[in-house]
Amino acid sequence: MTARDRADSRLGLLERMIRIREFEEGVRFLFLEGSMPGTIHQCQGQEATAVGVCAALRPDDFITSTFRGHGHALAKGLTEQELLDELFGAATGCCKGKGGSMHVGDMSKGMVPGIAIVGGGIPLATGMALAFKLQKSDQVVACFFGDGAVAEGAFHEAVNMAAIWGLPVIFVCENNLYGASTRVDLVMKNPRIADRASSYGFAGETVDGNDVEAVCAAAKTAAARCREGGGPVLLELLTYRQTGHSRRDARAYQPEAERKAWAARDPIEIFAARLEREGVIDEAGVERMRAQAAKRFTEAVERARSAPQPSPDDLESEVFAPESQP
Amino acid sequence: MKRQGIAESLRDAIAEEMERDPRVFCIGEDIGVPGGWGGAFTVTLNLEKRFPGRILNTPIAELGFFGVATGAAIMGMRPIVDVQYGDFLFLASDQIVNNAAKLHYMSGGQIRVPMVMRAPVGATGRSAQHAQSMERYFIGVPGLKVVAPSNAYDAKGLLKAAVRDDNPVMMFEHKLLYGSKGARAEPGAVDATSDIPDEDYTVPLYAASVMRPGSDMTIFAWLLMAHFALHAAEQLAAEGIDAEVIDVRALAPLDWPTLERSARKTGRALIVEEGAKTGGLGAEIAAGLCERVRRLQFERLASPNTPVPFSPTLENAYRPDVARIVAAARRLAGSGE
Amino acid sequence: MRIDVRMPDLAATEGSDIMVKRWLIPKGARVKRGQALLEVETDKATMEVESIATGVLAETCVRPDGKVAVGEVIARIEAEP
Repeated sequence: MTARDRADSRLGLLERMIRIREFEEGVRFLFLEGSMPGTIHQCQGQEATAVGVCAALRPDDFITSTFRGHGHALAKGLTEQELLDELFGAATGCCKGKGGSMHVGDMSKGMVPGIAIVGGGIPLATGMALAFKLQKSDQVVACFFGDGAVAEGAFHEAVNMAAIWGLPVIFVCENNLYGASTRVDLVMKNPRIADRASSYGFAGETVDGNDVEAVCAAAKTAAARCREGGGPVLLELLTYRQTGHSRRDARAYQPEAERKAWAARDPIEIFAARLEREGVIDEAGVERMRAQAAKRFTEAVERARSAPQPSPDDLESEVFAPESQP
Repeated sequence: MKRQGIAESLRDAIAEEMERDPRVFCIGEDIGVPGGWGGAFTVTLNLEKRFPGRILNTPIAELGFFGVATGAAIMGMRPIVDVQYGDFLFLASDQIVNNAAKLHYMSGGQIRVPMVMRAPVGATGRSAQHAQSMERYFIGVPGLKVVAPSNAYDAKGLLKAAVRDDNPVMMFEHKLLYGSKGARAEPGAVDATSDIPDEDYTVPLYAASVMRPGSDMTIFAWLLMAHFALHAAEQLAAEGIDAEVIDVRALAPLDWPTLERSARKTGRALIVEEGAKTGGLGAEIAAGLCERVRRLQFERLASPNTPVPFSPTLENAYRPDVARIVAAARRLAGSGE
Repeated sequence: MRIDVRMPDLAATEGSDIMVKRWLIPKGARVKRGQALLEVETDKATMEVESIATGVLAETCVRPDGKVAVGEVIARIEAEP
């Protein structure tokens, strides 16, 4: 890779994180205004985990996600437009308005619609990796879940099967210290989630989840291992939620000092600062990225507000797929 | 043409579909252990020799492997999932109901889940947790198809149709109908053998079957009860009551045109179900028939609202039998004009 | 252009009362999008209501110690283009 390519790819990481932040902040205000239906689970503060992991994947690799999937979606290549259309319930949304915020996804871009049952997507990821192995494909699947999901039986069962069958799945735990409002050390005696991998017979690694380049490097290594048939990898990414669990959450359970400490390690701020220090971009350049992302968002909202809603006939369509193939 | 039982016919169906389509594979506990049992009821016996690497033995992790099968299906494989006892489906319910059944709809049609699930049901002397009739819990799940074969011909044809269907299909099999041999044979087993054609065939997933045409009343039943209903109809015929017997067979979606046609013709419906009366499939059939056929007289005959007991005396009282079906039919025949 | 700021649904329990505590910004002051305008008391906690636009706080429409309904206009901002 040339120095120019490397700079571009680093700028790409920054730009994607900024797009996610502008999207999530914009959506938050749409809710405050009262113009968006349903509820939202946002990821401000967790941009580096989504962007870092997805940047390490190929377009034909897949990700599974959770109810907190807007960042994963944008990082994997879904557009602001298909997401906003979906959040407004429009027929042009990524799931034709049938899924909503917790189930955004686009199979043509390698993202399975989010699974909103905590831990519910983990067995799916193991199964997708099983398909890749049976099909003799070198695709991998990255499975996003939070610290809370680790307590679910589904985590144990799915991780165990991935291990015994040597499947190409990267288990990505976004440990933001809270499962909803409950601190992680109250729900597990050993809060070092990466430790669990060794009990299943494979490797786990804890990574600074707010350092997008560290995340990307760890994910690249993991993906390479998977592609070589080395079996699953567990990445524990330490990060922090700078927004509520869902839209009505005041975050009173997050101590003030902790919030401040993590805000000082904002993933976008620290990466922008690093790139500025190394002369890859200047402050004006970062501002331009922000302005562009905000403009992109605003234009997408305007189109989404007037996007066609599904008709009542769509209610009963696509409960079943057409019966079969030849 | 050969005469054989359900277990062998299912085995043939699985083998033929696996030959026909390399995407088909089996996943479950103890299904492909060399020198093993071929699953709890011998259905997959020796298939691991014919199809190495495609009969996957899992840990005891129903939630996990039903989810794994779902994930494989969304990536284009066509898994046949084997649960040892239908009662264990509760462990897997989140993956079946919240994922497999909903992914096509929730994704706006992007995802297909061509997955077959096979589950043995029915009381067989193993007490409450290995005996339940599980149909009721899955028939009301939008996005999930449910079938229940009462004989070997239907079992083979339905399983093939299920494998070729691009939707999640749950097939319930009754333990007393397998016709398993030797050490796996069940006391109280009923002959469910059929003549099986040599050529490839399927049975539609959405069709009920008229086992015996009649004019005085219709007995609706499925699985083991379909056999008992047929025996009851023979006895009733000797008393001058001509009962039509319908094997419901397609449990979800129900074959309303066939069910309605029969109820309309006879005006009397006796719905026989193994499993507690409250909230059973019989309730859905009764309500649906009454909505469609005015002045229908009907009765549901089912098990009492108890867990399945162990003692054979109690279990026999729990399970509707031919005598009770005949008694209910007489009551129905005597009621009204 | 003048933008209505409506009371967002901040209560932890659906339908429970939201009381205005105090304004944090005086009328006529400049505000930025995201800046806290006033404090309210919900059933669970004291929370801040943020401005949805950047501009001048032209009107304050609710008083301290008054109940405010979700969706009610609480302020108007003369927004910068």
